[in-house]
Amino acid sequence: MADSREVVQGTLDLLVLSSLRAGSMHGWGIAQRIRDRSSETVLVTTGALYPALHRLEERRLVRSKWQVSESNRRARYYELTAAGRKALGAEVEWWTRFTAGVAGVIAAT
Amino acid sequence: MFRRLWSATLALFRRRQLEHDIDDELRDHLERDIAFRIARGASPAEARRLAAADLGGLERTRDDVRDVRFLTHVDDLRRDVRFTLRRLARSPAYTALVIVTIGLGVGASTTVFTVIDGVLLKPLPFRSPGELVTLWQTRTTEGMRRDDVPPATFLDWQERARTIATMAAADPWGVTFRRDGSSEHVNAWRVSDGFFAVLDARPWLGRTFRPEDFLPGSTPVVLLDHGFWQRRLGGDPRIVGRSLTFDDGPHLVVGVMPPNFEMPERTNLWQPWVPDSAQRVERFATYMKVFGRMRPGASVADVQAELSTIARSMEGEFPRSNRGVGVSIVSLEDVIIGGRRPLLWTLLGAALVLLFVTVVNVGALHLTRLDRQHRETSVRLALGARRSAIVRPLLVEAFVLALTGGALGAAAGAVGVRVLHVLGPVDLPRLVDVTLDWRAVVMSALFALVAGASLAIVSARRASSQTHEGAPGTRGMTGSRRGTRLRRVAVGLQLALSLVLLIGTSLLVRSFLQVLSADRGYRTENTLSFSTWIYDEYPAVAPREQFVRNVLERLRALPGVTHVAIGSALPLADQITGEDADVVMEGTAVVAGEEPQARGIAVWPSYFETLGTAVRQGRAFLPSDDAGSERVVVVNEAFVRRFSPDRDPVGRMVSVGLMGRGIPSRIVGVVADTRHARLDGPPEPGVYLPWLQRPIEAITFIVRTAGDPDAVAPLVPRTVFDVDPRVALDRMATLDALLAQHLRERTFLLVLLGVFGALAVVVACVGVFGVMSQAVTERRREIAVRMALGAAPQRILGEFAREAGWMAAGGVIAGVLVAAGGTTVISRYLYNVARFDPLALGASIATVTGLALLAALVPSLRAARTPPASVIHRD
Repeated sequence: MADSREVVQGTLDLLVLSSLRAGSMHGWGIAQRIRDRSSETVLVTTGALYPALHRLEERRLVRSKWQVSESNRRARYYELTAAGRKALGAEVEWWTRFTAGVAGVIAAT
Repeated sequence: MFRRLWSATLALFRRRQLEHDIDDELRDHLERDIAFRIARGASPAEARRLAAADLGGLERTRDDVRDVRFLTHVDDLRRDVRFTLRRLARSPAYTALVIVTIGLGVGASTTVFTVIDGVLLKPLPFRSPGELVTLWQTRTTEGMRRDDVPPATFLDWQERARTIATMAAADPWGVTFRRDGSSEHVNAWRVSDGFFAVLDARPWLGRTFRPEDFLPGSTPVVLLDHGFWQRRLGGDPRIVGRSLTFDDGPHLVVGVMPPNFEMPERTNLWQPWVPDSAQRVERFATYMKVFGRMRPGASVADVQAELSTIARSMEGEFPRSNRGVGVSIVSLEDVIIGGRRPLLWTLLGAALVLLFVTVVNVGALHLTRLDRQHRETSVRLALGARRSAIVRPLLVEAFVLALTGGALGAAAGAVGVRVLHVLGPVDLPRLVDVTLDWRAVVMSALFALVAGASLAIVSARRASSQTHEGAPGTRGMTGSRRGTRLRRVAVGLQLALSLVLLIGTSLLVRSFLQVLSADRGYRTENTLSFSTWIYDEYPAVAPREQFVRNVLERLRALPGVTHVAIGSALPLADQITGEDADVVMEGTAVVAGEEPQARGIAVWPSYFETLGTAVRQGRAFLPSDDAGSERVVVVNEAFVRRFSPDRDPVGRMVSVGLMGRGIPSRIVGVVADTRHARLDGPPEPGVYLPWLQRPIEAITFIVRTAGDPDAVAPLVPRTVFDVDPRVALDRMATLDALLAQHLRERTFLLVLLGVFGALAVVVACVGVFGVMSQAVTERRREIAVRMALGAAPQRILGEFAREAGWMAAGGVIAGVLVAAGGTTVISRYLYNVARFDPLALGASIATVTGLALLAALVPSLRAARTPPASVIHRD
């Protein structure tokens, strides 16, 4: 098995929402946060990231704002909405149970 | 769902901005990535290449993002609709019930709306109809609030009024149409110059009248009614310029009016009216219809004020005729449709009640369904489904159902409008024009959307209040207490509203029976009548009398005929129910022109016997009561009550002026009251004169038969033409048919309200059935356990019956309270029936309660028959 792999389908939303808990961030920064915090085991391709961000925004879980970046460019920053925060809680709970279950299965074999 | 559609629409319009934003965002990403790679030690070219590769091809990413923006909405909606359709297909009974129920409500409302729209809301087909008014003479001392106008009075008004730009009048006329050896009486209006200009009515063919048509010695001209032209002349397109024979001379056809131009009333043709010397000074006889177009800016009140002033000065100028004579201005619109407003609004109210009942019912059904899905929803919530993902399909379902029901309703409306054409009062103005058009379709859609929105609100509130806690733990228990209570209230409400409709209907039924059974004073069975006018054919009295004798003799000889008679007027026949006669009892002094009036009719001696009118006192007329003997009259009981309440009327003298000066006559008999013009009003005073002493030229023949009068009817024209082929026959009808026509408005309202009421009751009972079934399902386990422990089935049955009884009782109480206020709208149709008629109330309550309990019986029986073991095993 490789050291790093692409995100399992369906967990991308969870990862994106979690990374935004620390504060608003632009797309590149989000990808970077995920990579750093997973010690480079989880890689988010940008081709998947941006559609996911826009989908989350459509669902009102995140919202975006245009800001002027450090280098004086227009940059789009995303942040969690109240609904996003709630959804994140639910997703985390589900994920915790799921991984505990998976761990249990693995340990038993 | 609306929000999504909205943002999808918005996205489409802001596409350019959106794409620009996406480009900016991705470019920003790329530059950050390159900078990052360079910082990590890559060469600029290398960094650029890697970053681009990582972005997965700039173009593709951009397309993907754009798709997310556009397609999520469309996709979601499509998925929801597909999901909904699949789910509905799994419960076809529920789906069909909901759609049919909504269809019923929407169909009824659409039908009635269409009629109201066509009759009341669409403007009249004249230019600036708001400027058109009608002018009437009043004589308040005698209760005449809206009388026709004498010709001289019209001419004076026309000359003096300033607030009216143009004024015109029409004189009711009749002519004999002769063609191929047959004669027919046809109605006509003689109209003053400018009549068509006032209304701004254009002809269908040819032209209307020109000023030269009104000059003395000009060629006689006629303008034909569209219906007459179609029916009698085969719609000949080259009719204009041809000549037709009316009365005794050729008349040039100058034009044909468009269909449904019914001014002043339904007629066959129009002729120019030129007042003759007698008419120029005629201020007594009221027969002209007067129309005017107000000056722009003038109001009805302005016109009323000016004309009242004119009327006052005319009182001084012509004290003999105009004392107490006023004027009343009524807008044309009020005259044409004013009287029908209450009827139509009542119907709309009833239709909306039905719509409301159906919506409430569908709401209750929907709640039941939601409860059944409660478990599934709980599980999905527990598994982390987003609330919107649960609510959205419910909303979609609500609207799919409502719109399908609405489409069904629009179709039902199209059928309903056709039914109304058949059923509607013949004289309901403009009904023939009414068709289902786009306005009606919009209205159905609106009704359906209201239904959909109600369902949606119910679903959304329900689903969003649901929690997932404990869901997997609870076993088959479904539904919440609150939901059950809500459904019971909904069903009670339906029962209440359908009870209101039923109470209204039964009050109308009672009134209808009262009107039918009210003592009319004459019989309608096996009686045939027809009219003729013989002014021109028999100007002299002796030949006129001979003609009548000859015709009566031959009619009497027809097989199956038992009685024959003539009268100058006939009960039930509109327009010819009698002329007003001035009556002055001996010993009373009355100011000239203010004589009290009674309905005067000149009759043949056999008239009372033929119509079956009872003689109460004295005698009926004899053949010897002719021109050579003492002037005599017979009066009715209402006459006696009004004019001779304290003294025996027989033998008293009374001066009777029927279309002329009063002639002293002796009262020889009293007959039973007859209800002539109105069946649902008190009988009016009436005075009968022997036709032989007062041979009026307008004659109605009455033929009583032993068997079916329709069998005799075909023989009648021949019989009359054998005596004289020149006379024209009109209005041949059985009295039964006239009676039915008279009751048509009543029947119309009754049938529609009855149908709406019946539908509402059925829908409400479906609701009862649904709620009780649900209750039984919910308590299945409990019942099974109790029965296993020995509870008697009767006990279980009793419990459910009690529950249904409470629901029905609540509905009845609420319904009676609403009906207490609601029935005022039909009070004008109530006759001899109190609004709180115990019989009508009792019958309606019994019907609703009985049907509700019956609907509850089936599920309750099922509960009572629950096999104790089965349920326990199944779980």
